[in-house]
Amino acid sequence: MDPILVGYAGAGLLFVFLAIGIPVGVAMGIVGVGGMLLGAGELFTWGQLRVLPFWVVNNYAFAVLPMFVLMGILAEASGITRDVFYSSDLWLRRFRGGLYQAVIVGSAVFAAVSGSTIVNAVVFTRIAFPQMLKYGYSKSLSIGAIAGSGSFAAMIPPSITMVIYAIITEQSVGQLLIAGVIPGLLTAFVYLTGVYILVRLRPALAPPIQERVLLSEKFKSMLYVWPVIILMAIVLGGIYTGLFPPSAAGAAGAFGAFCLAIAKKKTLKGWLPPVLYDAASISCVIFIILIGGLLLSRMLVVVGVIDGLVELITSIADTPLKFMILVSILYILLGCFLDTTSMMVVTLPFLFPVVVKLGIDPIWFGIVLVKLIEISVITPPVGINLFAVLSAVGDKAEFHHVVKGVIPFILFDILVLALLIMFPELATWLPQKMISG
Amino acid sequence: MSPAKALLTLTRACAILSGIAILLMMLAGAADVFGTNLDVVGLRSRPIPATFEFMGAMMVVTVFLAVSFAQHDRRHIRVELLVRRLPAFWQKSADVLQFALGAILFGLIARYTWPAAIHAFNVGEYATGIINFPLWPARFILAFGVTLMTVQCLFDMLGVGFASFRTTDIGTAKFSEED
Repeated sequence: MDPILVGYAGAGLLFVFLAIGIPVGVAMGIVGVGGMLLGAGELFTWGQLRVLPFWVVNNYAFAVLPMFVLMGILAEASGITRDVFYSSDLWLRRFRGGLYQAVIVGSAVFAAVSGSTIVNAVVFTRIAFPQMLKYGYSKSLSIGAIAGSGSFAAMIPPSITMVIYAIITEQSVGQLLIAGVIPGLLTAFVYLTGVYILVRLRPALAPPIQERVLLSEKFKSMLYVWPVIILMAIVLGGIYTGLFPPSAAGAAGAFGAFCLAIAKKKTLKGWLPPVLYDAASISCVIFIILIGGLLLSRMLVVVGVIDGLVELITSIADTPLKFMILVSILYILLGCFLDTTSMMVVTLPFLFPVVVKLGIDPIWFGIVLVKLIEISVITPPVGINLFAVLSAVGDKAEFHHVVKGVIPFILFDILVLALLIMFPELATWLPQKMISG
Repeated sequence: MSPAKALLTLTRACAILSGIAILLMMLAGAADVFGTNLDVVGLRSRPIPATFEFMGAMMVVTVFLAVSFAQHDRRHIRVELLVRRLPAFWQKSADVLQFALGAILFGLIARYTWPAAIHAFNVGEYATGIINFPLWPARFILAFGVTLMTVQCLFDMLGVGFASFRTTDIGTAKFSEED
């Protein structure tokens, strides 16, 4: 069978499999194996099955993934999210719309210990939304702020999405994680400013400023926030200075979160087994997707379809700008039904060779891609984070509240995306300054 | 004990080991970071030998011993948008297909990773370092994990038509705060 035909048929079959609910990892793996069998022969295919799963999982460089997953779940289980939000609320209460700002700041801080956008959004819905309703904040804008800020976790390190991009494209995990710092902070800053302006323009969006809070009370609330900041400094500082590799930083970060959880819970009993099982099963799910993605990507390379695909894509989009517009449309569409990990693993084997061909900086492309993912997961009608938030609010809000509330945040994100495209240094400057790549 | 109950007991035990493995990974990695950076506080650095290899092996335990319980828990990510809207018959057909494809993929991986594990054991495969770290145990864990996953997928497939194969019908499936 013509290998090129195998490649194209495989790509088509993959999307059929995904549409009919075959698990993402299995769909990619089966198409990869089938395509290799038809296009490259048995010897090559069985060799890949023997070698690839062990190589991917028994790989210290990739240990950063389960460690970041564990760190985020431990941080959430410890209850520090509530402390972070409470402290942000006290410090920002002097602004009208302070709870919106507290959600944004709290989410950004929590994103620095957690890498999952859905977890971030759901946790803040549970903690902040009832309080926002109680004080008369706009239902729509509250949900929008929570869903939008939830997506920070994809950009602000430790980002699981970024690590997956690094693994698939064979880029430096450390450089990518550090590259997310400025765009992540910039997004939070744009959100804060945007919400401030919105509330100034339409005061009905937030209640009048409440009682003043004593400075001593504000500092007291920081008791459990400092460890989070120290944890973040250890992880990012270690990676940035090259003191330890990302996997070691992940282990140290997870250990820090573990100590924090013990300090708060005072015991190991009860909470630890579900946390460990959650972390193990989430890591497992991600690695199965990665194995499937790599089998697919090997198949596409070995049947020789990549050159044809690159030609096809570059015939539609022959400049980096046109290509980025094409990628943007694709990601916004995919965000309707795929989660962030799957979106990346399914598309990168097709897209990354074009990135190389067009001479686009892979670190910058990674950051732009993550920004697109952030936008896609909150884009109505079916951005995946919107449903996560909606299911967490229960019957207190309708879908139209979510749609209405999230629009300003999509516009803020598009502004940041435009800035990232106009000034690539926002993503590339910090990694270039790293002591060790 | 019914076959479904026995399978659930086994996958659950593996999931517990998987959780322990991720904890050990964290402890080993953190201990190595502290040991390696003791010079920052003026002491002699004492990296822990074979930490990288140990973490790699624990990662294999974490991933491949959790895979079948994650399947039982239906944690593997899939797009349900279209399937949910199909009539019951087509939903069941899609389920049979997803479990069958899972069994084929993991069965094939098992078919080729068992010989690799046996070969590694026979030749005493190890990663060189200050301590020569044996690789064959992790290879056996991988082969065992994907075999168990194959069995779980087959049970899930049969479970679409026959209730006695459904591990999801048996209680105490999920980990809870009481565990």
